[in-house]
Amino acid sequence: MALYMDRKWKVITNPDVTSYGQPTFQECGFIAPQEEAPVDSKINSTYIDIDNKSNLVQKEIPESPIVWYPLKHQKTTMFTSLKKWRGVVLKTYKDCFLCRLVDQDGNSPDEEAEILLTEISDEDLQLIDIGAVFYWSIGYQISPSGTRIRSSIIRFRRLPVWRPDELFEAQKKAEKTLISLGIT
Amino acid sequence: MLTPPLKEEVEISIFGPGYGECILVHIGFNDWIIIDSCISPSSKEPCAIEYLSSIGVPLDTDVKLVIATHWHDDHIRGIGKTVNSCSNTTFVCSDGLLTKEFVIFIKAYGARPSLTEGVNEFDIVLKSLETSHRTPKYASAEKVLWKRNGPNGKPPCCITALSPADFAIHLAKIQLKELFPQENTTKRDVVVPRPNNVAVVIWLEVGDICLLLGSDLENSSDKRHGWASNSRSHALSLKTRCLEIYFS
Repeated sequence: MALYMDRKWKVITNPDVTSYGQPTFQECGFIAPQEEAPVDSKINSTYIDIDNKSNLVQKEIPESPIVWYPLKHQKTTMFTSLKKWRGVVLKTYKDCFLCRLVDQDGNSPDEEAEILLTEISDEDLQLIDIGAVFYWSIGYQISPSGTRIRSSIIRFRRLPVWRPDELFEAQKKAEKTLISLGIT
Repeated sequence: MLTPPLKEEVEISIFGPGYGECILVHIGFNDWIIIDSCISPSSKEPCAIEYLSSIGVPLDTDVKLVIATHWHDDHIRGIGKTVNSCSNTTFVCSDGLLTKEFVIFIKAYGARPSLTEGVNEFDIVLKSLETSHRTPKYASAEKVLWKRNGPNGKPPCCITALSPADFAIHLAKIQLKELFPQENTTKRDVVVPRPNNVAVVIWLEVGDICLLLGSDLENSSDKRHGWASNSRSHALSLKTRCLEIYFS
């Protein structure tokens, strides 16, 4: 494969970097066709001026013409959080719920908010009850192609039930503390 | 560069991301009172402790009281560490709070610190008190929490709780019993009951300076609890130099 710019170059690929056996153009360089091997010795250091055929001399250049693009392994959508709250449901209504929001960075005071049930995903709706814990993140999603989308994600925490032995253990610990602190 | 207050100076420092969730009072002659707690976003240390340490105050001798006025997460963040750091200091909380039911409740939730931060803070406080063989002091209406008689030229100082009233304590005990988790019910965060019946209002007198620290005490149409039940108006009528601080 040849590219024609101000000079002629041949595309070479880094043999170690392939995707499913195919050359990946995210890590490739351009080099003159006459200088295919060894690849490593050419990359980032020299180029061959193929128009000057009478005198094939390697020339030092201040900057390599080989452009290395960063290899991106992202294959799924990524989420970058800008702000995150821990929320607790205080009261439920027909179409919304009242909650207390705690800034996870600790930079702003606790706030109360009403959140519409339409903001909640179907699988989380059944978890909404007084005391239910959720996390609310505002940020942006980055798709594998690099597209950024501003988004708000609310996820409710899934918790197990109180086991009888846990409560029995708590009572035992409490009795010890009550005696120690003189609480009757 | 922070500088400590003068020996005879009364200094009030208000910390917090919102309304002043933590108040620190220098009542003169190297005596300090910490009321509630909040965390510094940068250092993650309790703000009062961070400030006192920065000006070289010895925590175990100079801090006389650590008061938890009410059980709201934003006012007790870091209070466990504060009580731990002030190892000889008297810990004060509302009379309606540290009941037998509440201690069992704390121990149940304290085993799951990620669930409820407020309860977890109280669990740390209880452990610290147990370890250092201290017993908490319970605040209720008209109870004197700390007193300095003023020998050697020091101005007298008296710190009095103006709430909770007896009926409020009774209501709080009923509320707390209902919070205790039942077997085989889903674990959830604790939602602090409303209205807040047992907030501790502090009346602080140093010489002729008075401070009214309003806490989160709520108004109620029932004169047996809330602001209507305490002697705030009476106290205010007696004093001419009075600073009122309310926070929620």
